[in-house]
Amino acid sequence: MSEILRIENLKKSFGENVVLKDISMSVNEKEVVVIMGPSGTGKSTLLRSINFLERYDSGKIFFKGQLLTAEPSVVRAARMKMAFVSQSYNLFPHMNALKNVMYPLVKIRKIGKDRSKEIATLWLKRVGLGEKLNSYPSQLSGGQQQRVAIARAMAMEPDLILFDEPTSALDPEMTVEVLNVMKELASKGVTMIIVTHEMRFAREVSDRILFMSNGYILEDTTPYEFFKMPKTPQAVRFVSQFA
Amino acid sequence: MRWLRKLSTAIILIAVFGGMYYLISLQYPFHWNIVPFDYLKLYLMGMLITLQISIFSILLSFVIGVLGGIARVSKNETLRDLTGVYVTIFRNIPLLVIILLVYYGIGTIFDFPRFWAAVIALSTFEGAYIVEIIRGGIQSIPKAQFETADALGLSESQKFFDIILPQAFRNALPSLTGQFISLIKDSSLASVIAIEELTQRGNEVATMALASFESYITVALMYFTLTYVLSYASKIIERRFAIP
Repeated sequence: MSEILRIENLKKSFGENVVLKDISMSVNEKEVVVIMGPSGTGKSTLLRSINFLERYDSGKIFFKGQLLTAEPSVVRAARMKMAFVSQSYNLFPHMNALKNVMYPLVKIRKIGKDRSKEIATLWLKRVGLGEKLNSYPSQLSGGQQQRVAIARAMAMEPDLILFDEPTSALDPEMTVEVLNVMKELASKGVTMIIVTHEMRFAREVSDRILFMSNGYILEDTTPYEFFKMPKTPQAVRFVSQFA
Repeated sequence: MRWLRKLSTAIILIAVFGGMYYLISLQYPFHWNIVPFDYLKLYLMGMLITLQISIFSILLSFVIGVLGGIARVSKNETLRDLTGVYVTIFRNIPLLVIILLVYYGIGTIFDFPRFWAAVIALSTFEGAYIVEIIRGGIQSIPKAQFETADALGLSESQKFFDIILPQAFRNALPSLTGQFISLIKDSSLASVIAIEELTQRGNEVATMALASFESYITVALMYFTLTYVLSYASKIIERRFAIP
């Protein structure tokens, strides 16, 4: 298995508040990595640093062997191969579902309109939204919106998808439908880093769990070990909350 | 009882205006047979000039507003400050004074026709307000939209022209319409530099025919028609481009 992402000694603070203290980690191809931990421990900041939505203070990030710099062309090239799905407001409200998926295909991957439309339709069908091609985001439920966002991410054929709490704004029913789509991607060997609070999902789907607390990665282990025998007291407390 | 409400509104309006008209007519002999009908051609010519000034100024002020609005939210601080200064200056000087300054000041240096002096004065004045309208429209877009565009790898211009501005325009459209209606009405001040637009024609006929009341009522109705058509058109546009 080849390494797709490596992070070395990443540090980030917002003013006085040090959010990421010294983060090093790596992700291999086809791996599903779930990042868990109490709120406010820097999980989202870490994820957002990976695709440069957040500028970090020091440290290095290598994506597919290449060092990421703040150079706009480097950042854009990396983002093309690194999809990002956040909590909500992912979709462009003035475009229908089909256009939302098509737009980056046409503008960024520079694929012709007809071909883009085929690809977009295909992906929307795969996430179960073949009937909703012409619906606007405001006409879709939260879960459907997130599925469109996932279809858009997948249509770009990324090497890595980052999910930043994709279900935290959804009610339980919709959460299930979004998690099911993500499970399917995982089974197909899509490389993903997922920040989530969904314990059961994490246990079923992930290859590895990173447990973050207070700006550090405290555990980097298999889901089985993490849930059965967490080592650090913080992880023990965290796991027991949900048990 | 919607029709009853409408009927009562109509009765009240007719009573008020009819009463006023009657009271005035006791003192002032109206000559509707002379004004506006004998001078209809002059009014229509004036209306045409008003329309021309307005259309050019709407286009120009819109360009100023969009460029300025983007500059107001840009990362370049100098650009932001400069646009801020422009907005502050033009919003704090009366339009009448701006028209006079452009015509007697800049107009005499560069020697351009008074028509364009009026257009420049109007567009720079209204443009300052439109800058703020566009800025507000842009700032009302959730931060997540900017981030999603970035995360997809869009370039700065793709982000602005395909994602942010189309949404910002929709938000800004009602305020923009209001500003353009103001612009049409404000164009009447161009009469001060003797441009033969609608108000100026009204002035001329008023003195020629010794019928100021009739003349200005005619002028008022014609302005009303122009602005009413514009606001109606904008409602159609709003509906046409509404996001479901």
